[in-house]
Amino acid sequence: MSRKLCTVIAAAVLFCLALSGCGKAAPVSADLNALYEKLISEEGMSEMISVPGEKGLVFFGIEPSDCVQEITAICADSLLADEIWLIEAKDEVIAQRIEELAKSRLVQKGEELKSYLPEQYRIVEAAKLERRGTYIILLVSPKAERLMELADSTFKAGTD
Amino acid sequence: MKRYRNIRTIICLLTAAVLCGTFAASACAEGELPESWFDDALFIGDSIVGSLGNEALINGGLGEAQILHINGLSCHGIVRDDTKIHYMGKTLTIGETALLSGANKLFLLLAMNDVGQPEKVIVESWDALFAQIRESCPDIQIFAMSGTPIYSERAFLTNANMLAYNEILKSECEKLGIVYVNITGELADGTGHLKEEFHTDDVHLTRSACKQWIKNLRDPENYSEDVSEERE
Repeated sequence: MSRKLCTVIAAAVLFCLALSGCGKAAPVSADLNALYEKLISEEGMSEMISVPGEKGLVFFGIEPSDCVQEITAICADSLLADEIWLIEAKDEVIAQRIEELAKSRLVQKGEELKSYLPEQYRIVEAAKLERRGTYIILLVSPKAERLMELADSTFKAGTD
Repeated sequence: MKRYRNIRTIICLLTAAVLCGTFAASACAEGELPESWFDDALFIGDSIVGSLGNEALINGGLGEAQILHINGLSCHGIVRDDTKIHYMGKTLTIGETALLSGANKLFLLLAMNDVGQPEKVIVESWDALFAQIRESCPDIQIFAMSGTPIYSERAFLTNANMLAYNEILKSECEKLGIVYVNITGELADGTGHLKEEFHTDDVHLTRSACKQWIKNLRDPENYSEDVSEERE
């Protein structure tokens, strides 16, 4: 086999591997502000308040310097359980840590609401939490499933 | 010519300074505590505090105060059931929360879920809570806010019971060195009930009620001790 042919085959193999991503998911990227706007514009959504600055992160135990992008929002009606976290962490280890914080947040919200507001407790139980690489998405809403679909489409569109 | 231009610049700067001063003064009515007075404050309470927190997030009024709430929180519950606060990803006592927050002022609203408890339970609960806070924060200034009026009374949730609770709380504050804050001004109508326009479900407050609450908090007259001299 000529040297030239070997080079062509090697290049073809590399090209195929690059296209397939070696079986791994392609990296994703998303503008979380745009996603948040999309989520809160969904029909029937409760009025949300985006917690300004670092207040939300500090409350939830997240180090602001660990985040690339972040939005935490609570419901304008404090008796409703609705809550949104859209966070891009600096790396996957941090993202895993934030995911754990989100899990404990759900447990704590559930404990608080179980006997006090059972209807809201059910919403917390049906909340959606996902980590995609360095991104963490927490959706506590009666429309959590639909909101996650919207997040999915944003991430699909943002796949590099 | 250049000299006149300099004088004109100085006049412009002076006018701007005077205007800024006027606006700054109008942001804080005469005698009112400035927003910044609450920058080092931590508020902890029940679901009623939740609506205060949201109002402060949306429209401000309490500076950089941190406002935490737990639905159903009560003083007797904290002591009896060892109810904890979830803050910065940790599960803490109120005292530990205050310590971690770095606050110098701790405002508590624990009333609606304590109303109807026997006086002995209320007194013992406040004594125990006070001791628990002091253990973590020996120097923090503690403020106890009065219970708020009720629109439509039911079972033990009556305005008479709330008044009785507030009286017990007032004497507890005096005994323990806690500053009592009457936040009820203008919230009740002539009969002592929460005004119709201020309630969402008989006990919880609307945003406009929370605006009034913030106004009451910023009025030094509503504090059992003179706080006006501590202004920054």
